[in-house]
Amino acid sequence: MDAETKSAKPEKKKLTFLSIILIQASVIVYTGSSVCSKIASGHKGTIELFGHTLHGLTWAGFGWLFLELCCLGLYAILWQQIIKHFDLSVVYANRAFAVCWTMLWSVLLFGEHIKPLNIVGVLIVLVGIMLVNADAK
Amino acid sequence: MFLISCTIAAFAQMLLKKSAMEEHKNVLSQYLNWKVIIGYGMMFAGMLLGVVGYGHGVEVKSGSMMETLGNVWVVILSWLFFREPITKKKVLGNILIIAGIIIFNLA
Repeated sequence: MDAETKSAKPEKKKLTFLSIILIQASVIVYTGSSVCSKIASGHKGTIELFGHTLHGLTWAGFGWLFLELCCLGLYAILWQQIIKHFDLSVVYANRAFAVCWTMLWSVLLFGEHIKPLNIVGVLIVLVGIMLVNADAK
Repeated sequence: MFLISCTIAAFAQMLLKKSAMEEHKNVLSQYLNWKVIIGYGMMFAGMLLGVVGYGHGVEVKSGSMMETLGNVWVVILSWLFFREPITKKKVLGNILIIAGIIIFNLA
């Protein structure tokens, strides 16, 4: 990398409480895709399209699939901005919390039960993800 | 399903990174080239597999945990395709991720 490119690199921002909230907001958008995916999977059925019967999901299911795509699209846009402004190690450490948010949605929206071993497993995975991304710049 | 899904997603990320590392004539060609199109296509296929997995009764909590295996794949594939070094931290991190998933599924 030459000196000119180096100087053109944007200055990384300091991580403030507000920036953590912003990063987590984008992570929440990302976890929304899992929620949509799960709901879409519950709309199994067939649709009629141009005289053909397609098996798999109903129109409602495709609606949720579309919403999942929207979540991922919005997340991609937000994420692109975030990785521009913060160190990757910080950003990925924050993204690791996606598992925690999904756990929360699984309980609140789908009535799933979280057992103590689930929590232990999630904590270990969190540390693992942070370690893997610790050197990312 | 989720194992295949996160593997596909990890390969897709390699394609996207390869494309990002290349020089492009303009902004349009940054997005409209075969690597990016196939990369996002693979991500979409992974997404559909996720729906199929959930359709087979996989809980949301388990699905998202399985997706964390993508981190392990990315480390391995980054070494294979870009010769990014596998540091001790990465090895330990990957061992913890796999151990965490196993413990999670013991519940």
